[in-house]
Amino acid sequence: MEMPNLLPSYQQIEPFLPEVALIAATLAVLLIPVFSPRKNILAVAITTTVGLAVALIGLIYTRSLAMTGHTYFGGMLVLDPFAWFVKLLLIIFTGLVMALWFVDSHRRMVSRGQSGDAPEFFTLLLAATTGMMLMTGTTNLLMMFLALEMSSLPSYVLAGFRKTHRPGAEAALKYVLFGAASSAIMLYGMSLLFGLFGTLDLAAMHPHNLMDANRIVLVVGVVGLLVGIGFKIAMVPVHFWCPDVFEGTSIDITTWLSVASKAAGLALLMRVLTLLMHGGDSGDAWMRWLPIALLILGGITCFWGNLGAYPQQNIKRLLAFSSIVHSGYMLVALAAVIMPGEIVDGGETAQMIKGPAADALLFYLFMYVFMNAGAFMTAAAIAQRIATPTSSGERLDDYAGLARRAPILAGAMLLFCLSLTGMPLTIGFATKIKLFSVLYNTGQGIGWIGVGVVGINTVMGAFYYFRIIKQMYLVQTDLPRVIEIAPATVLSLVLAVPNVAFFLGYNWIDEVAHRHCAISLSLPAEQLPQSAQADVSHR
Amino acid sequence: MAYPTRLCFPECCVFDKSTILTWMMLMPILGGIFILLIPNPQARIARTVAMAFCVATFLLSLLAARLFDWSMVGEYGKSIQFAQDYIWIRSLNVHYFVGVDGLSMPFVLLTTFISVLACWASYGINKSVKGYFALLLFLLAGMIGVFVSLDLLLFYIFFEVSLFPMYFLIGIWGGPRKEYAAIKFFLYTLLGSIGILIVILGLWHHTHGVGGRVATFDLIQLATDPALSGLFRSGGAAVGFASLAFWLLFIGFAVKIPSVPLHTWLPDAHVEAPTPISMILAAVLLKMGGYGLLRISYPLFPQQAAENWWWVALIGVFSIIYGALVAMAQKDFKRLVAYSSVSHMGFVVLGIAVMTPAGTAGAMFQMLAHGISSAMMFFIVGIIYDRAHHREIPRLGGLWSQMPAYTGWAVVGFFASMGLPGLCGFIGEIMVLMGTFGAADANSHLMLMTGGAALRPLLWFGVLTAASIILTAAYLLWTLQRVYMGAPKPEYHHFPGLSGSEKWILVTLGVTAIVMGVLPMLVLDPIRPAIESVLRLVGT
Repeated sequence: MEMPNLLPSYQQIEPFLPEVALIAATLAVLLIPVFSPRKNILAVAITTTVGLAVALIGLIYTRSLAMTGHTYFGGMLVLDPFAWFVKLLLIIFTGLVMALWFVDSHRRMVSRGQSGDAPEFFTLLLAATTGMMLMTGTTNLLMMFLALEMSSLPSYVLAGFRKTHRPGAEAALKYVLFGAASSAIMLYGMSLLFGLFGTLDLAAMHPHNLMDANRIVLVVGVVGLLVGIGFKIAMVPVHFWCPDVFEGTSIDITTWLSVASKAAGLALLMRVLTLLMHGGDSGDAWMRWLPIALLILGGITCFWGNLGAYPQQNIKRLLAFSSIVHSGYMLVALAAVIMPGEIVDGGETAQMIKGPAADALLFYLFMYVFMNAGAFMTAAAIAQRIATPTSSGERLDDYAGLARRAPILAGAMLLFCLSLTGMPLTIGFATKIKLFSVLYNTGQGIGWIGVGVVGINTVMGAFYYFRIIKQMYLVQTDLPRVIEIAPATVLSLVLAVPNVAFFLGYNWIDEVAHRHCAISLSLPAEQLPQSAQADVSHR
Repeated sequence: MAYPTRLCFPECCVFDKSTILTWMMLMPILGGIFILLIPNPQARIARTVAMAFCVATFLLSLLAARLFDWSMVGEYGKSIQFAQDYIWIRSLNVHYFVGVDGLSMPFVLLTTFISVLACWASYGINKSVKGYFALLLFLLAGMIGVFVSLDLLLFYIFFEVSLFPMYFLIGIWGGPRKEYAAIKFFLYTLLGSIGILIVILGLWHHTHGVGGRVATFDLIQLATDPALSGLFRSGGAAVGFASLAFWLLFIGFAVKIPSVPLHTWLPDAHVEAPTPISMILAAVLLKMGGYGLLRISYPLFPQQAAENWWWVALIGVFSIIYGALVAMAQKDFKRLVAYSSVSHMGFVVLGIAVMTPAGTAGAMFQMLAHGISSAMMFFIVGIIYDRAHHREIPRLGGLWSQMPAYTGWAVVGFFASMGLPGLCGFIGEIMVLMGTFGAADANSHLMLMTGGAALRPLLWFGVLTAASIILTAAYLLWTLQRVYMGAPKPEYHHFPGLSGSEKWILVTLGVTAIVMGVLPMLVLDPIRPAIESVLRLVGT
């Protein structure tokens, strides 16, 4: 009697080499303390680096596969250009965070005689990154939930990683409670959707398959899904964890949460929206309300983030609110342009859709990595240089006269502030141009509202970014100059360069984003609804 | 097209007639970098280097003016000279497109001229001179960039980039409330300029695919290509966008001008800014607003401009009267001069709004004249402040007998600002008035557009504006009397006379004011063809 082959074949595993590499690295890092002395940082560093490097190589290796778009494991996992690009950002960025940990947190802990707990830290970091990478490529609700949890659970622990730090512990608790609540809501929404459609695959959730035309249940189901994902990207009203966690954790985790977690969440949201809206392509207005709801949520997120940033005195908290605002910008853009785009042929198994929303989102995410991570990393470098036994070096008051005390770091911070504001000659300006132009391209009222929201919020944002600049350049101090030469400074300067260079390289980023914006519809062509097939043949 | 001289890398770096504008911008940037590279420079060295680069830039602009073919007339955009155009961001079709015509050349000259004087007036600055002079030079480059860019996105970039140096110059070297003034200045202008950015990207979006064209930021093409400019006229595809766009642009530029009610940043910025920065702010930065209206708003949206003329003119007249009345109530000398700027720039808005040759030429002349007279007024205030360390008008008095030479030139400045015949202020104001009354002629553009309904408001605006000249005379003469006349006060006995540089700056500005007043055709003749080309686009 032949046993059914439950083990996946190499052909099925091959597209997920990066994830496999990361899981292997996670386990290896976890086992290091068993075999070697507790403080063997070097082994941890090498294992993590090798893991990330193999993941990167594996990712590059799977590019040609990704460019045509495939589904695996009965539709559980998807690999398409969009997922591939976000994974690339995630791996590169995790590498940066690793570097930041070594130049900042680790040094600090070592100087205090603590071990730094490197093996635990990297186990959690790599596990969460694997979860995020899975988030970028799935259309199955169950897989979506698993991936979200896989990235969230290690994040909760990471948020409370500084065990003796009271605010950190409080923030972690808040994070866990909010996360649990929003996960529960999401599960509820998912179960409703399952009940309505009789399937867990989002790609099959189409008006034709609707078993019960109860609109309210449908709306509640989709909103539940949005809440779960919105929690990841700190969308108002499920953003409350964000400032506390960002303030309470060490700055490497803050950086990582503000970029990686958000990128993965937005990628997932993008996929969910594309699939849901694509169902609307059939002429049924079943999801017409979704862009409007998103626009409202995005607008509120922008305003809330900006207003919340005004009274902040802690740089990490301020940047946390700033990252909420940027989430809001991306939501506004998604809301306005989440219309079905051009359907492209994706090889033998799947059709892919290339929409302006995915294009803009990838462009924005790419730029955002450098702006936001740069700002956080510079804040880390500054805190490291100016911290005293009585102050953490993270309060805005500590920044007084920084231009004299640390001209290089102040200059880098100035650049990142200008970039986050969206001033010309920085990549922040490039994102503003991209935002406004995709909003215009909708040619609809909703696009105009988006233009207004982004315009007003840009001015509102300038106020608090310039508070940082004011502290650094306009306020005088008698404190002495600090020594700036440090690995952390180098890291922040490395991130400063792309902030100008990529504005001049606008073409290139734009092209790359456009080439990778195709999202797999994940069902083989014969399973596509009739209308969509007609659409394809029409093109 | 007359202008597309496409230049790429090594050609664009060769110094010749076609790259003179690029060099004019590069010169101060190089100077700023040079100053930053000197380790711990002495004040003397920093300012000498800065002065050298300012003068070099000024000489370049004089050379450009010499090479400029002033007699060249033609359609808007056809008379662009020293044009340099090459593609910068391909996917957005952004060009590095610079060039000057009769509309921008005078402003370039004004900018470099005032910068030399401001740099000279900065010799008293002792606090971190390195940063100060480097920022001053970067500011100069940004200001020239605004006046020479013909690509809208490039214009916007310069418009924004010129804000930063100003923010720091006010914020670091300013008076007691410098931080407040600097951020207020910045946020106001940013609020306006985001509107401008929205319009620019909207224009770009709407031109996409029109008759197979690529979306463009090219100002000249947008204004003169009938297929594109037709989009924004009645019956065009984007006429709804155009009326919103006209107002967004107007708000953006009105903040800069500044027009009431968007003017409140100006008094704060002026009061806190150091004297040379005030000179630049009043003489050049405010002109970017008026220049933007003439260069962008009116050529691109002539129909919306004609439809909304009443509101624009009302804002102008209101600014004139309100500015004058508020100026009269001021006790701080510098605040008074700042409000007088609001009042004087109101003439510019009114002159542009009425869309007659005399009105527009008057607005243009008024901007240049105000560039001279306001710089002079702020310098006059600065001289007193250096000595008395306060600017309260009631505490001053009797300076005439202590500082006769200074008072003599101050009187020239006051009268130039007031618009005494024979001085520069008079020509601009009288021409705007003539333009306003001229627009009431039955054949004027406005009268034809509105079917005669513009007659009554035009006459009212004219009468009110003419009457407001009394107000201007009142506050200026009253100030003159309180500050310079009366019994000499003992606490001001020790005041030294004018230093060499102070004297020469005053003489230079004063003589320019007199020359412009006596020989206005020196300015008016060269700018006439450019103004006519703008008005032809508008339809008159």
